[in-house]
Formats: sequence, C-alpha cells, structure tokens
Amino acid sequence: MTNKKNKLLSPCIRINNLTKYFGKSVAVKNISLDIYKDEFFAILGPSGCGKTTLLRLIAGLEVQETGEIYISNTDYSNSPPNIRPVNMVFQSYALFPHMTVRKNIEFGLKIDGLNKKIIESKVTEVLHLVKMYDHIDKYPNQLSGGQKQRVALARAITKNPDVILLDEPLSALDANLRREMQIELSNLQKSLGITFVLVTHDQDEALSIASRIAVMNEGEIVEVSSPDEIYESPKDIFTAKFIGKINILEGKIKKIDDTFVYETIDYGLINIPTNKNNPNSFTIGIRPEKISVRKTCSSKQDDISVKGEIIEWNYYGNINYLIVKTSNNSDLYVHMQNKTKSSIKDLKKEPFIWLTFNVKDLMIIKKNTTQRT
Amino acid sequence: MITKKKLITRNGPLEYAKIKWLKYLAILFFIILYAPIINLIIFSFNDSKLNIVWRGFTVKYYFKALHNETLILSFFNSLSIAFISTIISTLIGLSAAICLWKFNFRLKTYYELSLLVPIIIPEICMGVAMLIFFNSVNWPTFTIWPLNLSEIIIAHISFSFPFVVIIIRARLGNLNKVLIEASKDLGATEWIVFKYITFPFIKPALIASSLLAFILSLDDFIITFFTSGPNNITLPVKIYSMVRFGVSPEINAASTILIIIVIISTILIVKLLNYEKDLK
Repeated sequence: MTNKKNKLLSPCIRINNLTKYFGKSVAVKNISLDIYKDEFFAILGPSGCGKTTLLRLIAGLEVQETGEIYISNTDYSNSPPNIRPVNMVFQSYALFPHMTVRKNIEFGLKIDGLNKKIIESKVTEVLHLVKMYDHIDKYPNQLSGGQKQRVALARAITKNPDVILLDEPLSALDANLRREMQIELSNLQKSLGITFVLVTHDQDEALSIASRIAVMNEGEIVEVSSPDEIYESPKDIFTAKFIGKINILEGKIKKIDDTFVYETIDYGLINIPTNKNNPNSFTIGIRPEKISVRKTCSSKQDDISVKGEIIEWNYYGNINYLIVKTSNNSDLYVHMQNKTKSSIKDLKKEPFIWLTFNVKDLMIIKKNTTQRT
Repeated sequence: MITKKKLITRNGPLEYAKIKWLKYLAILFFIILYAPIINLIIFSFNDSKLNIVWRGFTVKYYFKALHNETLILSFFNSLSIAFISTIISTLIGLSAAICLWKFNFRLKTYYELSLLVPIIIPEICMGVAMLIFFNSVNWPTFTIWPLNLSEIIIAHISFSFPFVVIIIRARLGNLNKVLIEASKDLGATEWIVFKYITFPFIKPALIASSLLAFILSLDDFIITFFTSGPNNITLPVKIYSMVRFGVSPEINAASTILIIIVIISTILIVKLLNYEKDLK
C-alpha cells in the first residue's frame, strides 16, 4: 500500500509495461512500477524470479522487448547505460583489478571531464564517507570482501546519480558483516538523499533496510508494500509464505448474518473482522512468533487455545523453533523466545502444552492466486 | 618432552621430483636435446676452418660474419620482414580476436577452426602454395625496400597471425564482462572501455603474441625459401646456402646470433605471460 503523500510526488523511476524475454522464457512479465524519490526500495524474490533482470533493465544493461523506463521524468527506454543517470553496485563488485581504489573511483569522474582538483576532493570525500580513505592506494585484490563492497559503493555514489542500483550487494559477506553493512547502507541512503533500489533474496535484509518492498515471483510483481504491511498483512499467499514462516489454518469460509466465519477443525469457528475488505476467497494464517506456548489453556476473550505436543526442537540460543503436533494431527510452527534460563527445561518436562494465539494476529490472505509454493 | 625420533622421509604420492631415477632420466633428455645447440655455440669460437677438432678460442669468425655483406644483408632482410610482418599480423590478429570475442555470427565456430589451418598445414605445402599463388597473380618484383620483401612478408603474416588471434582470444575469454558493464554504467563509451579496460587487460597477451609472431617470422625457413628470390634472401635461407659449400665456423657464428635473439624474445614472452597471473 503506497501512502498518499508519495503518490503526489512524481516518481523517480517509472516503469511501464516492461517485458523482457530470454529466448523463449520470460524474465520480466509486463511490469509496471513507480519508485519515488529518496526511497530505499527493495525488490525481493526467490532466485530466478527476474529481479536482477529488472534491475539490469533499469541500468540499461539489458534491452527490453516492450515497455518504457522513465528516470526523473525523462524517457530512457532506449538509451545505452552510459547516459542513464543511474549507477550500479554489482554483486561481484566489478572493481577494475588493474586500478587502485583511487583510480577506480576516479574512473567515472574523469569520463565526466571534471577538473583534477574537483575529482581529488570528490574522491577524498566519498572515501571518507565509506571509511576507506586509508586504503586509497591499494589494489582490489588487496582488499577484503567488505572493503571491496565499500569501494564499489563509493564508486557508484561519487557520480551523484539520481538512483543507485544495488544487485545483491551483501550476499557474499558473512552474517555479522552483512548486518553491519545493512545498517550503514540504510544510514548512507538517508544522509545522501539518493534513491536506492536494492535487489535481494534475503527477506530479513529487505525488511530491515527498505522503506518499501516489491515482492517478485516468476517475472511478475506480486505485491508492493511497506515492510510491516508485507510481513504482518500480506495480500498474497506467495508473499506470506516467502517473507517468513507461516502456519496456514485449514478450514472453510462461512457467511453468517453478514459476518464471515472461518470454520476450522482444530480451532473451531473463528470470527473474521469485517472492517477489512476481505477478498471473497481467502485463507487464514498466523506467524509462528504470534503463537505463545503455555502450560495452561487461555480463557481470555479473542484468544484461541489448542492442545499439542512438541515433536521437534530447534534450539538457537535466544529462540526455539518448535514444531507442535496438535490434537487433530496438524503441525504448527512456533517460535518461542527463551525468556528465562530454565524455560526449555521447564517445558521439556511437560507431556503436552497449550498453544495460544489472538484472533487479531491472524492474517487474511487472498487465496485465488495461481498455485505457487 | 617429546622424544626425538629418527625422521623417515618418504615421498608423497605426487612428489615425482624427488624420485632419483626420474631425475637422471630428465637430465639425460636435456643433454640429448641441447647438446647439438651447445656444440654449435662452442664451435663458433673454434679457431679452425673445419669444424671437427677444437683448436683454441677465437672470435674472428664473428668479425668475419659481420664483414660478409650478403650475410649482413640477409640478416637485415630477416629483421625487416620480422618487424613488418609482426606489426601487421598483430593488428589483424587483435582485430580478429576482438571480433570473435565480441560478436556472434553464423559459422563462427568454423571460422575459429579455419584459423588453425595455417598452423597445422605442412609448411612445405604452404610454401608451394605461396609460390604458385604469387606466380599466378604475377606479383610484381619491386626493387625498393621494403617492397622487395613483400612476398615474404605476406607469407609470414598468413602463418603468424593465427597465433596472435588464438593467444589474444584466450586472454579475452578471461575478461570478466561485468567489468565492461561496470565501466559503461559509469559512463564509458565503447572507446573508453577499450582504452581503459580491455586494452590494459590484453596488453601482456598482445606483447607476448607479437613477440611470438616475431620469432616465427625470424625462424622460418621453408615458406621463406619458396617465396624469396635471389636478391631478397633471409638469414636462415642464407645459412642454408652457405652450408652447401661446407660448414665453417662463420655459419656457427651467424646461427649463434640468431639463437640468442630468439632466446631473448622467448624469455620476454614467458615473463609477460606470467605477468598475466599477477593481475588476477
């Protein structure tokens, strides 16, 4: 759901009915998309969904079959990459191996024909910004993965483009460094005020740094929303399943006196809030962390409790990933925080446990989309 | 304390270099391979008209060779041919390699295979073919340098440029195309991409392949023999004609000079090809 304030702004990138084939297979299927100024926009999808192709189309590194690309209100649909006001950070960094860090960054500025003093000051400034000034005279093969990443980023920033495109920039870094870089990327985007478009297959990455996310599957955009909308109330079953673990509650919809009721075997009748524009055919799901594990049944209003037996423990220190078999033989994923030192030991003693969740935490998801997994 | 045990050194399964009999065998092969060449070089300093018995050290045959006008002329011809054919075959080869790397066209694989023909075809056939060709087109006889050498130059280009193509093509195959995309993304035109990305990347291969073309041209005897006239012979052809009147140390001296030029060029090629590895 794009907020209204954004809609009034003119989009930084406007994509109209973009289609790209590779041979007979379609990589990008009739995509239309607006990306606004100063956004940190993420394109999220499984590998092979066409997200990188979409990014390369924006950069001009691929040529589309049909459709238009506008960047800052100018039609760049048929322009070569060297005249588009976008710069890309490649997955493999693509630093020039025979040039030092300084030369790598100067490259784009020299093409613009700037004078030496301006180039010098710009290079210094941008290298301080990404904290790589100490490595200015090193060659790329003398740098670590994270350092190469910073240089690649600096090289893209230094030309001060309208948009910076990032193609899975953090996928080659180890988990800790990735987290660190995510925060830095996000801060950098805010301080620079340049539109960032990030392509990633990492849900956490998209959720944590993007201001808006487009979920892609099989060449199409499934849903565009803010991170919390996408996680908490996805409109599409593919989004719901891709963005995190989800328990789908099997059941049927019934309409009693203008209110929808979801009839399940395990959890009885569930009243669906009517204030939402519920699609005609929907399914109901709940995220694993919204379910709490208790020793007793909850009697609070709007709470649903179900008895179950833990059949699988996955201990991760701060969190437990559990699979619980309910009395009606359906499995539920449950994420349980280890709030006390003894929480596992206590739980393991119990022969069975009660799972409790609130009706408000249920997600209503459109069902009639094509079968996807 | 760890008690000192006597270390038994055993060879690992892949440490062939440590096997003694293999070492001796290798040395034997080296001797067989290089003895004639070393012999040739040593006897170029022999103070005897007949090259059979060692009669003492002298460099007078080098001076004699340097004062042999036809020998010097043939040496000058050899160098001219090598320089000119190297420049032209490098330029053609570079263009062909870039073309093969950049573009896809019909029958490309067959074209690439056809490049091998000048390499695999027997030199004698190539020589005869060249002879017949220049006769049938009535190639004019020039008297001014370097046009008097045009037939040999053309023949040399035809067999040396495929080597240039193959070496540069192989190097280009290693060029990460993302680098080209990145430079275009940063605003580079085709020319800037070539000048700052592609050319620096292939430079070692370019120099190595042109040195190879130079050596091939300098060394060639058979094809040159068929395409040279009486007034434009090269050093190898001259040496051959001298041998027919008996082997004198002068020939040894001339051959030694040729060998030294070739060895220096080869060392340069090897160094430059190793330089490629450092860049990665």
